[in-house]
Amino acid sequence: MRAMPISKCETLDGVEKAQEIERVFAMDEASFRAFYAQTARPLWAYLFRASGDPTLAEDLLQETYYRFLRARPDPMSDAHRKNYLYRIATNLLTDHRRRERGKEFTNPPGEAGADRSATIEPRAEGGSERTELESAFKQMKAREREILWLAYAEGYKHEEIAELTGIKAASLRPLLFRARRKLAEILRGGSKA
Amino acid sequence: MKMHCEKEEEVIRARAEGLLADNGEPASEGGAALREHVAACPICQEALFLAELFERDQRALGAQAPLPEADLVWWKAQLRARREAVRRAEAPVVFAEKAAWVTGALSAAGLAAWQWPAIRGWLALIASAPILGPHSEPLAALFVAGLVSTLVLAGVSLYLIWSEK
Ligand SMILES: [Zn+2]
Repeated sequence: MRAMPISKCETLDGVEKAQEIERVFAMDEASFRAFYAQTARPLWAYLFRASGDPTLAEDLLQETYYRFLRARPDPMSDAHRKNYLYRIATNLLTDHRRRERGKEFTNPPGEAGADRSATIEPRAEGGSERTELESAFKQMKAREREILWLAYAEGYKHEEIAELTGIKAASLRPLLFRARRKLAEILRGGSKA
Repeated sequence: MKMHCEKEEEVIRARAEGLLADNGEPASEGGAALREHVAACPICQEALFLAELFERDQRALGAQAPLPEADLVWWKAQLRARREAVRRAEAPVVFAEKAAWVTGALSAAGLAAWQWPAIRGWLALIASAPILGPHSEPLAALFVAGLVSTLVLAGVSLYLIWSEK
């Protein structure tokens, strides 16, 4: 027997479609909309600050939600769902970095390795502070940006950050302290505290 | 300067919960103790400085984020999930088709090996006689069988090509 062609599959009636998607996805549309409204803005901010690239942040955001929906995690609390979402996002950031590093070896410098980073034009209010943070973040390593954001913007505990990033708990603490120190020094204009 | 303070996580959590806010209200017992600690701890001060800075940044970025609509994300995910489901469903069929071709080829080779003397005789006959002689019944049968299997194979191939489209 031949498999159902896509055209047939796409013309399933509404009820069948809804049932099919419910089987495939972790949540229904209404729950997804509520979850998205709650999480998309901070998630985008995380992806943007960690990658420095607004376009990439948007791509990764969509991929993160797709994988979240497909993963069909067991029923979980809001906090667990959020952790799960951030774990997917962090893995995607790591995969992206690996691919980019791979390209650096196969492409001449200045092509694929070109800086795709861009800024989101800061609005007048708090603009200079954001510009400073943006330029300070550019001097940090990607992993440092991630763990700093998870710790101080998202308020994750160290143990949770270790879980999200796959860094050993024992290594995370010194890593985080060094990153914090480094960022604070850059923000203070390089003066040693 | 020491690198690490045991209370840092607690301080960050308390701040997120509003326990450290200096809003003129009397602080809870835990809040007051933490405030006192922060006042004397440069590590926690630094952590709080970053937490406040990041919070402002996060809020400003969130307000400007070029986010796709939830409906669009949902719709794209649906479409992609369905495409992947179809691809997964088709995978065994594609495998079965390949397996059928391999089995068919092996059977034909086996048949040829088993019937090799007849085939050799037939070839010899064709080679020696331009016109079929009186003892040509097996040859004729073989010829017909070959023709039939060629036609069957051609039909199956056409069906497969058509059904792929
Ligand atoms: Zn402290």
